[in-house]
Amino acid sequence: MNDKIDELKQSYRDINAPPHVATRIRAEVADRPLRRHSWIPLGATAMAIIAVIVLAPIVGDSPTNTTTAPTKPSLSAIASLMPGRPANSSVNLSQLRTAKKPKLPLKPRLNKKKPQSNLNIELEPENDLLEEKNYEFS
Amino acid sequence: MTLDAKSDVELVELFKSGNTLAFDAIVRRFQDRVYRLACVSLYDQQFAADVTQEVFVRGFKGLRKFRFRSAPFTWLYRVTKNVCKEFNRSRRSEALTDEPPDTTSMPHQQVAELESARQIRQLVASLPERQREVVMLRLFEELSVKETASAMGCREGTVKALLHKANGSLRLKMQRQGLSNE
Repeated sequence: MNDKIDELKQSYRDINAPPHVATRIRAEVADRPLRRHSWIPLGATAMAIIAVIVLAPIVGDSPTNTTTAPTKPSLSAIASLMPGRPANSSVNLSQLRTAKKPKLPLKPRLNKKKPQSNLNIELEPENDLLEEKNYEFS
Repeated sequence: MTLDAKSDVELVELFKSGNTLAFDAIVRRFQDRVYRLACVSLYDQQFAADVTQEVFVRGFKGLRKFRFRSAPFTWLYRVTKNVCKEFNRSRRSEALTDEPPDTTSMPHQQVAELESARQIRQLVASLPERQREVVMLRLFEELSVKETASAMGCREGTVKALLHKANGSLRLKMQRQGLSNE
């Protein structure tokens, strides 16, 4: 068995790759750079985004953007300058303070003598007792 | 010290540091072994050459991140195995059978190589896949038990057990062949 395997081993060793294989590998690999540079555009994009995020608030606070629109005179100020009208046509504050509220109508008062109840129970026997007592004392 | 005299690990380290000549040395050192394995696995010299090319192209990418957890050839063997499986799958999808190629127009050397591959294929064909792998790596590639275990992703004891079983099966097969020849 060992002889047979040794024989096979020897013939196996005789199998060699054809010379064009190495050439093909070299040609295939030659186009590929050893160091990867594909991260460069990604890194540049990331840096640009970070720069925009960091610089946006700083640029936003600059005086060019803080200039306010030119103020126009208010309508009330123009009105006060008109000669035909009183200077202050608006309502006085004192008038506002002393403005009287209309009185609310009085609340309907319940009759205290008569106990309010949905059941119309009359307490007559008690009254009778009272009367009897009064009678006794009298 | 020339590149060819350096060890496998030294060559890979040189390649990782950016020396492209080291990669050429790696190709020179391992291309025959990769080609042989592919030849036995695929039984087609053209496919074996394609597989060898693909293995080294992948190696060019992969060896840059190589962490030396295993020997460089062990790693290349795994790549070879995977690429052979992919080629076999594509061959099956193209509905090609495992027929012997036409050898009439081939040079003598190629015919002899193909015949060797056929005999080895025939020898290990009856073995289960793991035993076949052990026979190829341990007997034909003459890797150590440790290297074989690393290439197969198993323990050294498993390699020994598989080899023992494979030897038994091969002996039995050869005895039967001898009896039938007589």
